[in-house]
Amino acid sequence: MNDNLFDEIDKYKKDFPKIDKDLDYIKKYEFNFYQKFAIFLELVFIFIGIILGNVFPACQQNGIYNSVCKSFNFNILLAIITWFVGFIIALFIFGLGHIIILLNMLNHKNK
Amino acid sequence: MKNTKYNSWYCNATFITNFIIVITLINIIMSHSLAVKYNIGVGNIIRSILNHNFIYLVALVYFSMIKTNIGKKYFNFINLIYIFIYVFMVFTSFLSIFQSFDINSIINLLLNSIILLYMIYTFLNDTRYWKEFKLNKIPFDEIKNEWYFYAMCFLSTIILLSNLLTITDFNLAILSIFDSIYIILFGRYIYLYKNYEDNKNTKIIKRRNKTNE
Repeated sequence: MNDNLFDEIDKYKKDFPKIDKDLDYIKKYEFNFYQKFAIFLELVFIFIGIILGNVFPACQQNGIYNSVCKSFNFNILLAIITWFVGFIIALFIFGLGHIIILLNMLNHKNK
Repeated sequence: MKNTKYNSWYCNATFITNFIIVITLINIIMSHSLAVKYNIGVGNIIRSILNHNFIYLVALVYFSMIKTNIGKKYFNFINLIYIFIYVFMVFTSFLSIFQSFDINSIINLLLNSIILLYMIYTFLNDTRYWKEFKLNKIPFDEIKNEWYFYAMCFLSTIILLSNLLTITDFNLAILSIFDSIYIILFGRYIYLYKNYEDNKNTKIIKRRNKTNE
């Protein structure tokens, strides 16, 4: 079989990194208020994305070019944009929480 | 006989991927040019046509990436992102059933679910996560590689037929045919990759048996 492309991919491809240890670290990690709030906010944004995708649906391919759209699709692009914005905001708050943890640790060390 | 069969264009991964790139480009350009021809507003183009072309844009980036050295090196990572995108697509087609309940949306959900399963079964099989997340315990092997591909071809043909029955415009009929060709070619690409992995594994097993003897 002519598989030059797959041969090359097989030659160069890297496997995934191990995540067992990372998962254990996450399980032991204690979240503070800001980080818990960030996770809650991310969940809220996921639901908002689903609602917006349903409220502003996209027209199905065949109906786009007609004057009246008869069948609709869930608006995945709007949902993904909402999830992305939510993720950035949640990440910012989560990072803020992590900085507060680090500052607290420094404060305890200095005492 | 065997050589001619395996030298056919549909067994050549490079040709299939090039063909997919061309088909996705035609699809994207054609749907946009049709939008201009039918005087569709900017809002509608952004909302509906970008939504329809979303998966083609992703496919275009994916198949262009695997042609580069970086794409080949991070092939598994790119596949994982593509699988995540198909999770979104399954989710979308599930919610689309609530938007408009018809045979097309149900078959779309079925088709996207099969593509997602097929991608997980094929692209994660050779990776560390296959054992780490105990995916080998899920009975993916119950369905053969050929049957996943045939199921994709069958469902895309049904979608094409139902589209052709409702379409009155020649340009839209061509667009629907290209949609189906893309799905069949994408299925063929996954099929060829799985075939390649299986052949590689059987070669390794044969070599091991020979050394043991």
